[in-house]
Amino acid sequence: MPRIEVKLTLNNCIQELRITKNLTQQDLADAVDVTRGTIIALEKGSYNPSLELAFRLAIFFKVGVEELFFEEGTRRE
Amino acid sequence: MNKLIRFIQNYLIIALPFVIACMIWSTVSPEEQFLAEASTLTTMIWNALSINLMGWFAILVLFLTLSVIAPSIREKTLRRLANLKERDEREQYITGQASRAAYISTLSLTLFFLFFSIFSLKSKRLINRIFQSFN
Repeated sequence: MPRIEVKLTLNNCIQELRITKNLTQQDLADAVDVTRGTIIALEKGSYNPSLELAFRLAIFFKVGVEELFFEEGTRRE
Repeated sequence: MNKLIRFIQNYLIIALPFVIACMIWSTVSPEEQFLAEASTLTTMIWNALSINLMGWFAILVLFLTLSVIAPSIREKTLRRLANLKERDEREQYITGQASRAAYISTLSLTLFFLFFSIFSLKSKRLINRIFQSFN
């Protein structure tokens, strides 16, 4: 089987959506049942969430997961 | 069951100073020596501490056995003992990474000591030789 070597750089628009909704990091953290530290790490891009958390965030912002998390340079508007 | 486990945990922690006191007392003054000339109160305290020591050890054995058999009890107890407070998945991930690092470093140390345990160095001859060279 040939190995597929793709290096992904994932970005997200959590911070933008949060600011649009006029929410604090703590509000968002409480809404999706994580700590504020996790929201900070997600916004900085230093932590990739689990699929479950990604879906929770997408459901909260009422967007698709692929709109919330995207590969660098492939963002859908 | 949870209440029982909590009671056992609290008893083990609260009774520990009395167990240590009993051990120190028995080390400092052996039983045969002081019991012959001890007052009633001292004898009563000694008996109470001894009974507590027996009970403490019995409960400790029970608790350790339970923590080996029941994963939920082991999880709760060791989590409390190791002060692990994971509030979400990222903290669990960090704890996992830290545990992995701790496990690997401990394993490397164990292998290091295992390897060096096959060597033995007798210093007596060496020291004698050094002294002889001075004389």
